[in-house]
Amino acid sequence: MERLIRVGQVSFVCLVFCFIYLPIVSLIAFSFNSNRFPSLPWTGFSLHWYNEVFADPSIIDAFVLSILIAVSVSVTATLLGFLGAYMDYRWRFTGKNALLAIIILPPTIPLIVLGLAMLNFLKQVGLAASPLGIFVSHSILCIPFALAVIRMRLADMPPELEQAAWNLGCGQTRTIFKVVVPHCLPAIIAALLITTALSFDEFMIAWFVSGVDVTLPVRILTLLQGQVSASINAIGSIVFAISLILISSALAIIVWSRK
Amino acid sequence: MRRLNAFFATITVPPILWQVIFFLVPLIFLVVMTFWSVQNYRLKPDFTFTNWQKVLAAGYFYDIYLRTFLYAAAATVITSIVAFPVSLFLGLNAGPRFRIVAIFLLICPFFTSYLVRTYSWQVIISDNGIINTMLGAVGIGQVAMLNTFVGTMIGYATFFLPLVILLQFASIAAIDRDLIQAAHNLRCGRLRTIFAVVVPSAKVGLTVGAAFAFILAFGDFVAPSLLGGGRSPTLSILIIDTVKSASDWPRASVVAMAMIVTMMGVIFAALTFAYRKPGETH
Amino acid sequence: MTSTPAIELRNISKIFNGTTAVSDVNLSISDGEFIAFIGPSGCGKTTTLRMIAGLEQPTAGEIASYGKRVDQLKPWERDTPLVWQNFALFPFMSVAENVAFGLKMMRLPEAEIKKRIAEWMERVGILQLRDRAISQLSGGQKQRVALARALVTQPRILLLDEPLGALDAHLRIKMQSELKTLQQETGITFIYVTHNQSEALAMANLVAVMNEGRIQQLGSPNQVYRAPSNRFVAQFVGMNNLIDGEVAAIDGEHCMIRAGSNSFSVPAANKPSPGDKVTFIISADLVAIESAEAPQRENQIAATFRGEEFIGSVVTMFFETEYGAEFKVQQQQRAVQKLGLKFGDRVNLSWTANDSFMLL
Repeated sequence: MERLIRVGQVSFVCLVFCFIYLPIVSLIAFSFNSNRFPSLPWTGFSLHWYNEVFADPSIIDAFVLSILIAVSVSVTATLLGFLGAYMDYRWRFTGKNALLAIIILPPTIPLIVLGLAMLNFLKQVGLAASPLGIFVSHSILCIPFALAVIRMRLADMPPELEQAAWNLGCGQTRTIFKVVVPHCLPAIIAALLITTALSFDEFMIAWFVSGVDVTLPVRILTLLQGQVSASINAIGSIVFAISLILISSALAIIVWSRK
Repeated sequence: MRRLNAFFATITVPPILWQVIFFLVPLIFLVVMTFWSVQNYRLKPDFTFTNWQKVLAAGYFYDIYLRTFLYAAAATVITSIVAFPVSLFLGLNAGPRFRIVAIFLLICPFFTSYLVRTYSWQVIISDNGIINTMLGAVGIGQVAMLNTFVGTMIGYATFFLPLVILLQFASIAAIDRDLIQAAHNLRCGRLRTIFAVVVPSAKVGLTVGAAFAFILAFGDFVAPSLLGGGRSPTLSILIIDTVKSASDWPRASVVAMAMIVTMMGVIFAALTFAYRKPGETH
Repeated sequence: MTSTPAIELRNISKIFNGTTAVSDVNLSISDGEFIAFIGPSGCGKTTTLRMIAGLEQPTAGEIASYGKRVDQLKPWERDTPLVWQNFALFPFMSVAENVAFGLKMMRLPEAEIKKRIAEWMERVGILQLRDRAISQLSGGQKQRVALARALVTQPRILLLDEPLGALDAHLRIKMQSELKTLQQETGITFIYVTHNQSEALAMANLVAVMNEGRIQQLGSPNQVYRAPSNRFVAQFVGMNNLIDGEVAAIDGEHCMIRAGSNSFSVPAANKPSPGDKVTFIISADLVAIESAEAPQRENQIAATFRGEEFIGSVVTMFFETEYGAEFKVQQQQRAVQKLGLKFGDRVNLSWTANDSFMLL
C-alpha cells in the first residue's frame, strides 16, 4: 500500500516534468532532423537548418540587436533594481510602500497591455519604432526582478555590517561600494543574468514597439505566423540554449552564495 | 542632515523616477488615450466617451470577454489541480537533493522562450505530429488538438504550470510538520489530513498560484492564437487586431482597461481571501 | 485498575540512518501511572514517546497497549493523543475548532461534539476564548488549548512532549500542579517527556532516566534522587559529588573506603568485598562546611573555596579538593552568609556516613 502510493506519486510527478520538457526536447531533436517538416518518422541527422539560420542576415541582425538590448537592459535594470532594493532595506518612510509598489508593479500588468501602453507613450515622445523604445520598455519590466533578487540577498546582510563600517570612519557612499555591493555581488551577477534572459526572450512588448529593426523573438513570431519552417527549430534551440545558460548560471550563483 | 538628504535622494530618486516616467506615465496615458478620437486613421487628442460606448455596446466584446474569462478560469483550475500533487510530493515527501533538482527544472522554463516552446507544441500536437503519429501506431485515430480548446489549455500550462508548482510548493514546504503529525495523532487519516491541514495551511501559496495562473492566462496572446487557432478570439487577440488592422488605438486602450480592471479585481479578491484570518468569518 | 499494562515496550530499538536513538528498551507502564522520561537531549526519550504515538516506526521490537499490539498501526489508528512541545495548534482554526478536531475525526454527532468541547474548555479554563484565533493566544492559553484538544477525545493514555518547555518559569510551576491534579482526577495514564528533572520529580510517580537510548534507571522520584543506580544517573539527577575509591574493610552495615589520603565510611548496601574498586556519592545538600581548625571526624576532606552560584535562596558553592576542582556544596543563603567565606579560604567538608550512597 505504502509502496503503491509512493509509486503513484512519483510517476505523476515524472509525467508533469515530461509535459514541461517535452516541447524543449522535441524542439532540439527536430532541429537536427533533415526532414523539411518537423514530423515523424525521423529522416536523418542534419545541420542543414543551422546553416540556413546562420546564412540568413535578417536573423543575424535580429540576434545582434537582441543581445545589444538585453545587455544594456540588464545593466540598467540591475543598477536601478539595486538602488530600489537598498532603499527598501535601509529606510522606512511614509509612502515607501506605495513607491515600491510602482517600482515592482510592471510584471503584474499583462504584457499585451504594457506593450500597448508603451507604444502609445513612445509614439508621443518620438521613440516609437526605435531600439531605444524596446530598451526602455524592457528595463521597466526587468527592474522588479533585479530588485527582488538583490533584496533577498540584502535580507541576509546583518545591519551591523554597515554600521561597523560607518563606525570605522567609512562614509555612507563609500560603505555602499566597500560593504553593500561586495555582499550583494552574487545577487547582482544573478540579477544581470536573469534580466538579460528576460529581455532576450521577451517578444510581446518588443513586437508592439519595434519598427524595422526587430529582436530575435519578434523575428521568430513573424516566422511562426508565416509558414512552418524547420529552421525555427534551429533558432529556437539556439535561443533556448542561451536562456538556459543564463538562467542556470544565475541559479547556481544564488544557491552557491546562500551556503 | 543635508548630507543624508543628498545621499537618500541619490539612492531613491533614480529607480522611482525611472518607473514613474516609463511605467506609470504610459499607464496613465493609456487611460487618457481611451478618450481620444481617431479621424482618418489619425489620432486626435480629445475628450469623448465614444470609444467606451462603442466597445461596451458591442455584443462581440462581451462574448470575447466572457470567453477570455472562462478560458483563464479553466486554465487556473486545471493547472492548480495538476500542480497540487506535484507540489505536495516536492514539499512533503521528496528528499533534499531531488527537491533542488526539481526546483531548478521548474525555474528554468519560466525564463526560457515561452514562444519557442509553444511553437514546439504546435508541431507535437498537430494532426501529423508526434502524438497523433503514436496514437495512429497503436490504432487510435487522429485526435484534433491543435486549434482547439485543448491546444489553448496546453499552451497556458506550458506558460505557467512550473510557476504555479513553485508557488504551491513554497507554501507547502513551509508547513510546520508537527501540524500534520498532530492531525495524524488525532486520528486524521492521510487523505483527510491533506484537506483538513495541508490545504488550509498552504492557502496563501495555493491562492497566489491560482491568481498568477489567472492573470497570465487572461493576458496571454500566444496560447489562444498559436495553439487555439485564433478563431475564438480572446481579449488579447482583440487588442492586437484593433491596433494592427484597424489602427484604432483608443478602442484597444478601452479593451486594455477592461483587462486591467478585471485583473486588479482578481488580485484584490485573491489577496483578501489568502490573508483572511481565522475567526474573522464568525 | 486493569492488570494489563497501559503500554508495554518489548525490546524496542530505533536506528536513524545508522545512529541508534533507542536501544533495546523494555518497559511496562501500568494503567493510571504518571511516568516521566528524563534525560539529556538526544537520549531517546522523545523518540520513545513518538514511537508510542506511531509517529516513528521502531526498527525492532513490539509495542502493546492494554494487551493489544499497536506497533503496526498508523498514527491515526491509535488512541494516544500527544501534547506537543510547540503546541502544534492549527493556526487556521479557532480555539473551538482546534478542540473539536479529534472528535470530528471520530465522526461524533455535532451536538455531542459541542457538548464535549464546552465541557473540556470549561475544565481547563478556556471557555471564554472559544472563538479566538490561535495567534491571539498567550503561551499559557495555547497550552490549555493543546491539553483540551488532546483530552476531549477521552483517551486512556495521554502523551506529553515537554509540554511546559515553552512557558515561562512562573507559569511552569502553576501548570505543574494543574497537570498533576488533572492526572489524579481523571486517572488517565500520563507519559511525560522532559529534560527538566525537578519537573519530573515533582509530578511523576515513576521516573525513567534515559541516556544513549537506554533506560538507566526506573524508579520512584525518591529512589532516582537518593539512590541512583549508576554514575550517569548520579550525575544527571540531583547534585551529587562522586568519589572513587577502594574497599579497605567491611564492618557490619558499613564499609571503609580508601580514596587518596582519606578514608570514608559508607553504608555497604551491595555487599562489596575488600579490594573492590567502588564509587560512592554524597549529595551536595548533605555536606557540612567547617573551619579548617575544627576537630577531625570521619568522612571529612580538606577543601579550598573557589566559587559560588545563586539560584533563588539556595547557593551552590564550589570547592577544590583532591578529588577535583568542583566539589559542590548546596546551602541556604542565610547559612552561607554566616560562614563569611572568601575565595581561597581553606575549610573542612564533612557528612554523615548514612547520607552517602555506594553506586552498584
